[in-house]
Amino acid sequence: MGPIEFFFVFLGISMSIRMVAVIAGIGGGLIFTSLMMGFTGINSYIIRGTGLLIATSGSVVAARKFLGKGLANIRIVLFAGAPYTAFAVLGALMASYVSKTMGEAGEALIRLSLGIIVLLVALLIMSRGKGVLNPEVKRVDRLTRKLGLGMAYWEASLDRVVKYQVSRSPVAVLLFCGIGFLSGLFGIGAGWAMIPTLNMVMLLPLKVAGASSSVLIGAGDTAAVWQYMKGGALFPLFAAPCLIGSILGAIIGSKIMVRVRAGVVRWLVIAIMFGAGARLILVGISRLSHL
Amino acid sequence: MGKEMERNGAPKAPMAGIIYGKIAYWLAMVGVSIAAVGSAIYLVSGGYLNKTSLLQDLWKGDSVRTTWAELAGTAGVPHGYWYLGRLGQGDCLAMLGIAVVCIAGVVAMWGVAFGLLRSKGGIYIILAVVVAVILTLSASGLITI
Repeated sequence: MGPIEFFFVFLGISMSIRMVAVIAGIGGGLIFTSLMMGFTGINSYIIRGTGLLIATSGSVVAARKFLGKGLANIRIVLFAGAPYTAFAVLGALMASYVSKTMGEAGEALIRLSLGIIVLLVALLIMSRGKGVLNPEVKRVDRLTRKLGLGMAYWEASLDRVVKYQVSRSPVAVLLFCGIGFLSGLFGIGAGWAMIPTLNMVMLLPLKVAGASSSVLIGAGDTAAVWQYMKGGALFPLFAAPCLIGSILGAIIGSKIMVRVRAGVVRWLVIAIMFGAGARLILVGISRLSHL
Repeated sequence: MGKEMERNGAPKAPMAGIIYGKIAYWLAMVGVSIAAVGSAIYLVSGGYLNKTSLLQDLWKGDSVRTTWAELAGTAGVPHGYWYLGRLGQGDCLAMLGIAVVCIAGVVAMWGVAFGLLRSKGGIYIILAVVVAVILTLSASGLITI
């Protein structure tokens, strides 16, 4: 395969991944990174940097729609953004350290750990179903009340304004630290963890959780991408087609998602994740055994 | 913030969010366009990094350090803005486009901070500035190990 074929193959792959991800209601960074690390020999530091670029770019583009409609909660984005961004940078710094100092052992361990995470995420997506549409907030803690994190949005399906409250923000801060670290270390968008945290811990309506999570990834992971760029992990021959394909996939995916049965695509994503997760674990173990 | 007025029943989206969305979207679009043009030039007429050798290194799974040493002759990884001095080359132009996409979130977050400042956003001004400062430090290469 020559450079031109390589460019268009990866443009097509990243476009397809993003289309499927958009229809399934997830970001696509996790699928991209796990598939590339499981099924290609490309250095994991390069894949993780590119994976984060994909996750970030899609979220940055989607932010206009989500924030313009008031669906994403800007207060939540800022409240969660501080710990998430700081820990995403720490994760990316850790990734750079592993890449510089651990060599082949680091490559194997990263693949093995990501494989385990991907399998757990696939199980999480299977078990939580579609999440809780409008969770009921029975008690608002003092910090959350002081911050005034609750807002309102226009729910088109109900043809009315939905006012919502938020809860448990102190616990959520700790979770955002962990999610940001994993996102920066493994080069994966964190929608898979962010949406359950916002929806099931902070009790945000599912739609608001999804929209806010997307904006948050765009803001927070940008900081981590710069660390990978500084580490020399972004090569235009690989990163540019993945970036362009990802943006095209997001645009096409959002247009066709209304005509496609999201449930079928969701199961396809789960199947892909089980396959990629199992493959990553096998590759990780195999590489470790050859050390 | 805090002054979301209801018009025709729908709550008005906070101005700070709208500012973020617009800045981030348009900068990302400009960046993707630059990356597309740069990539086309790179594929047709080459660039700073030999594309055939780079492809071989990528498939081999070479580390970032090895790849840069082989292709650019540098002892280690060059600084994060290696492409800026060579914008006549296709791959460097594509890399500039990628950087513009990445700077979108940074500029947009400062936009949020200024938007909140104008609308007296209270504690959220501080949070926006904190995030914007982290993003700026990361983009400038000042956060390092």
